[in-house]
Amino acid sequence: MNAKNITLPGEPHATVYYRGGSGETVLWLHHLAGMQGWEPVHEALSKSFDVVAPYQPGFGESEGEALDDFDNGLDLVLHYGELLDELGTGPVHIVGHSIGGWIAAEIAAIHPSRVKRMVLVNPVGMWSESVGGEDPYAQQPMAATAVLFSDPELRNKLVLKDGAVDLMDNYVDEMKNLKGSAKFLWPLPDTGVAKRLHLVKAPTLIVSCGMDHVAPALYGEAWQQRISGAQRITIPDAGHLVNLEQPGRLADIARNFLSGAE
Amino acid sequence: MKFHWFNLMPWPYLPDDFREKHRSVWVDVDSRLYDPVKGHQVYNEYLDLLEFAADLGFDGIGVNEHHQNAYGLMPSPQLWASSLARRTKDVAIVLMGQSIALYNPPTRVAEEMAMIDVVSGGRLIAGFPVGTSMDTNYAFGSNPGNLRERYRENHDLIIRAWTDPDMFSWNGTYNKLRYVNLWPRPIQKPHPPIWIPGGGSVETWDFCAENEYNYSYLSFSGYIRGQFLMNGFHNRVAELGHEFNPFQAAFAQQICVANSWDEAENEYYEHAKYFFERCLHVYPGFADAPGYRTEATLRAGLKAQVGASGGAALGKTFKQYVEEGFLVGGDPDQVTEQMEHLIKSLRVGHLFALLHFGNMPKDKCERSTLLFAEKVMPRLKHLWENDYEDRWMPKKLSSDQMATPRPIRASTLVK
Repeated sequence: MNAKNITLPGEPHATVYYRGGSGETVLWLHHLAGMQGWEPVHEALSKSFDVVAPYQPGFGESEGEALDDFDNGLDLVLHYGELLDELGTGPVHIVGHSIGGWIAAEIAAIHPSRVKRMVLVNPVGMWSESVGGEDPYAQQPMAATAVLFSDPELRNKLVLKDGAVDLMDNYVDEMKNLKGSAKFLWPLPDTGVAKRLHLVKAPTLIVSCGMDHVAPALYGEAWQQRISGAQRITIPDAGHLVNLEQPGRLADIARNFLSGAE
Repeated sequence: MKFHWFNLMPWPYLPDDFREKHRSVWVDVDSRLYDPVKGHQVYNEYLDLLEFAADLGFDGIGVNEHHQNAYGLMPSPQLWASSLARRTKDVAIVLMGQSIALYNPPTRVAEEMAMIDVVSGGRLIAGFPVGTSMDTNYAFGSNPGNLRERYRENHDLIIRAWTDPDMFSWNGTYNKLRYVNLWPRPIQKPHPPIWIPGGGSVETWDFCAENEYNYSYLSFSGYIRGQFLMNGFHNRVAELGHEFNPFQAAFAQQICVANSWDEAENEYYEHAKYFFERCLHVYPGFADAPGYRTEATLRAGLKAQVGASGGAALGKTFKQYVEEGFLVGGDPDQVTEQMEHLIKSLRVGHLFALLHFGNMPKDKCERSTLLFAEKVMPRLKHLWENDYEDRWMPKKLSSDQMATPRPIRASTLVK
């Protein structure tokens, strides 16, 4: 599948996104190290939904300079609102993963009418010194994303494709992506979202992963407590990038919840 | 040719098994390795050495800024620069420098540097580094995604605060100040010379070329490996249509001088080893935060300044250190020959002589410094001087305008 481009009013850089499937629209907001284009998890979910998966500005196939136009979470909330308006989707479901979980929650708190149901996967955006978590921005440069997996070895297969990916290109790409999320999460991911979560009206499912070293599953409890009526499910054997480790399982969980069949 | 004596002020008591037991000399280095009582002696000896170098006729003495590390114990270079300003007379105070992106409002930096320029009688060189990733991003929590943008804005604000005689307001992205009106103002007009310490960043070359600032390449990999980046700078100056001037470029080099090659090896090898193997033991995850360097620099394949340079010097002999340029060393003739090669091949008019490195004790450092000052420096001072104008040295007050500070620790009793 090819990426699509759309230029939103008032934005100098194009927004790059993937879209596939049919049915009710799901906005998929990716994790703090980016997105591998149209991923297996998108493909699986698109059997039941119209999946819209944009790159956050400055990530992946979008221009790096696009990041310069966004200073904070509110800028991103307004950006995604405009994207949905331009695509004419009406209210949507949202799956927000990692940093995308934070932005999804902000959208649901600030624009409750835009969001039907919401799944937050390993959301990042709260900080507790006692829970802590590995620093995703202080890793060995040539293996920067290894910490995002339940087992660091998985990166060889799931990111480096067992040697098919050029190491130098991948290094530059990873730094570009991590810069894109670090801008909002540096030096620790306290975004202030905690005080706005009571405004969320959408039925919400929190997905925590037992082997998430960066946003340990304990954070999932804190998100659940602050969102009225939120449910929570734990995948014990997955890491932060559960989208790459267990795409089928994650798609099933999201599909069941978003279709109201939980 | 100008020589500036420079000491990083490392912690000299790191244990022999430091590399094995600790992952980094920077950011998360165990504070229990620091002892403030020993630190009292260490600081005073290091400041003594700087003052000693001033007495021997070095052109400048240098201090710089680092945080949360055992590599260089100068969180505030202004503090030591002000102390040195009072205790020295003619020498340039090379403040090399303050990581200007870190201070809010940066007018504080403009104020402190103006204070030092005034109290020293116009002897300040103002260094504006971006700062290492360890210092700026990890220790001080500055966002790597906008560090350089913040640096540029703070630079513009400091320059205007120094040069605009009228009060103005500043409505920037990172600083909003309704009333900017600096007191005191620097002696040097329009402002003290600005030097930019840089590692491997292509943007820094353009910045120095366009603003006519001195580019100081503070490499610890020595002059042979420094060739690539120094040439990069000179080429960039030419590409942008500016005239070549060796005084626009500075280089930092570890140096040891003894009466013979064997003496140099016996006396100084262990301290060089200490520097390369312990002081540069930086966890790579702290060397280069995502966004600290631009995509263009990453694609150019340039290595991080300090973090990545340590590895190349591991497990080398004294002879290898010298042959590969990590160290300039030997007897005065051998050092002069190596220095001349360094100066001409890098085409630099300023040299930071790192005559103290690692855990070198004060007396050894004094011997090496003295030999350098008496038997090396005089044979190299003439280089470049007749062919180029040095516009990057301070313009100090004339001797009749200079104040005479009270003698050190004179009796306060009125007789």
